[in-house]
Amino acid sequence: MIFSLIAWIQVASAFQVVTTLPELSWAGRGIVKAAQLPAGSESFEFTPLLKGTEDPHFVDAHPSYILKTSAADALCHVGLELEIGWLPKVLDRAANAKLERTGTGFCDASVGVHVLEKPQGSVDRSMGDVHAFGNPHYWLSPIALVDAAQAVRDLLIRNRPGLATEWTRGYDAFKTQTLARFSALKKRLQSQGGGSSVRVLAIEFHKEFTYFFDAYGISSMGSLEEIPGLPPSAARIALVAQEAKRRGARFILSTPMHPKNTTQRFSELSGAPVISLPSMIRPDQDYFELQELLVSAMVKAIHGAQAEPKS
Amino acid sequence: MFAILCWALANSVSFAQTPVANLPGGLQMSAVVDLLGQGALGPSSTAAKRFDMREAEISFFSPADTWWNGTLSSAAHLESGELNFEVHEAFLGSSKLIPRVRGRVGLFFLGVGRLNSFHRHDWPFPTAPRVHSTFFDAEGAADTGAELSWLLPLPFYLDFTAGMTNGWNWGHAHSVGTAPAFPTHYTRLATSFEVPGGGTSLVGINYVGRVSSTQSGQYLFGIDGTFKWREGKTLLFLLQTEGWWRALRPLAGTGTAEDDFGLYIFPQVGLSPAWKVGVRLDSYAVLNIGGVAPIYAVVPVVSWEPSEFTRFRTAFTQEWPTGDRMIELQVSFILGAHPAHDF
Repeated sequence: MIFSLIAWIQVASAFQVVTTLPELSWAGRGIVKAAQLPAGSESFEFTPLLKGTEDPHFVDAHPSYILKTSAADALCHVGLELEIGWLPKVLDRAANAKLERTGTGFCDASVGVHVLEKPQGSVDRSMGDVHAFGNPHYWLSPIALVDAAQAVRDLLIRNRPGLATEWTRGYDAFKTQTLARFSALKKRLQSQGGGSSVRVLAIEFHKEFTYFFDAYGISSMGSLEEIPGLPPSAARIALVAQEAKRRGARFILSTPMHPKNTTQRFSELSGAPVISLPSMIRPDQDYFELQELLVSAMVKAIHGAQAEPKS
Repeated sequence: MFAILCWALANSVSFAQTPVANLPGGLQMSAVVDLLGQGALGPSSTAAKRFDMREAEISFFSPADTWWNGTLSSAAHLESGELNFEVHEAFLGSSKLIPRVRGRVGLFFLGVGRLNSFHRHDWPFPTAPRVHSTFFDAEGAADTGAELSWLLPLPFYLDFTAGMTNGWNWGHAHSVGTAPAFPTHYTRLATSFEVPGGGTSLVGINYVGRVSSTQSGQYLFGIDGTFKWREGKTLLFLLQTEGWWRALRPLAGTGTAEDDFGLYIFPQVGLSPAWKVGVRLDSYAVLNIGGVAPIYAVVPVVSWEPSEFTRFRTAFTQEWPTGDRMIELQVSFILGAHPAHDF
């Protein structure tokens, strides 16, 4: 108890940024690390609310989230209505005016992102879980995450304007490093996945890899779900599987949250293997660990059951 | 009026609970319809023996200004065969004035216990357990007053709530009531802990007191607990329980002191995101009056929730020793916006 109190006091003395997803915390830490703050500067802590194992649409407003948020100096969220089912309640219960839309600690990371799949025309619930502002699952694309991190940089500048030069430098360095690591992975996918001239065709269970496919130059057949948020019917699975087989889709990308029997059935009918990996990193995981897992799994799927070729 | 509501609902587009704020001033609104059918199973059944619209609730909520949020909720209730349209909740609340402090003033459901803090259509079973209907009424205790909550600045979750309301009535009433000797006052202390391996719990201890105009004191002491374990969209396991002890004390004149205690426990398993199966165990007893047999009930519940906005539910109730036995069918749906839920 005493140790946890001491740890809490130490953490409380730092500038606390709570993020909804671990990816935003990873980006924030990257900026701070690359900022090369002057000796003796205060510390900046980034803490995600989610553990990376949840479906970010369907999360309860946990008291632990309320506790963290109440003590935070800033809150960065994905936006585009991803967290709309639970974050407003967390904010209300936390009673921390700094984190409200009009506060200095408010940060909507989607502001700088080039948003995909903005629905045209009117949207209603008969269309399933359609996000009226566009697809919010951008964090799996390193390009989009770098864009989202601009909001983190701006948040830090707004709260510590005296370090504006450092924050700009930190963001620029973070961007360079992230895009370099991404380029290396993309090259690996292209060289091991059939060459840069070959555009791999794939399908996703739910529209949460759209930005990822876009970043890595993978052609998408769309989602196996016909209506977002609803499991596909047997007829839908059969039809899409037939189309995937005809067009030569190489794999279906899914997460452990999605029904295994559905993706397995699709795989049996289409011949395209299932890649099931989380769509979020764990709180202390390196962002590129998951990116490498995804790329390795895709390369393996492209080459069938053979071992992944050496580069 | 109806046309305005239809227009406003048609313009509140939404995914999850809350819509794009596309109405003037960020006004959001929702309509909830709760249908309930009760079939009698046996001669001692208290079932209504019909399928009715139990409640149609229309809510408006939005920021009133930079600091305050307003909520207005009106509901049409079917009571004793008559449809009564009344204001359910109407309050001004804020969580922006003092760090870690939330407050509200107006008409609201008292922030005590578990069931009393949620609207009935958000409960995990169709009708109230006997302890709740006896102590708080079939839906809950709402009154006009003020409530403050303070999330204590500690390394663990500890939320303190205190409130005071008129107390002219208790439970659900349509009359003005009479001035109490001491108004309704209540407090709640809630804490939470994560369970290793997954899941989160929320535990609260509660007190509600009131002295009526006839100098009859009612003092309620309760403990409630909720445990949720969710994986993706599926609420794998829910355990919800409340136990209340009520002391009725005549403070003047003649009268009989009464102590009664009630409890329910409701474990529920999620078979999929849509399907849930649970069983509620109820008990209620008058403790200090001889010859009154304790009452027990078993209520198995099956829910099918194809989305967050539609719910079909059936429950079977068997009560002892009253012999009350019934089957219930609940259908409810939400149109437009709906505020994000508490844990």
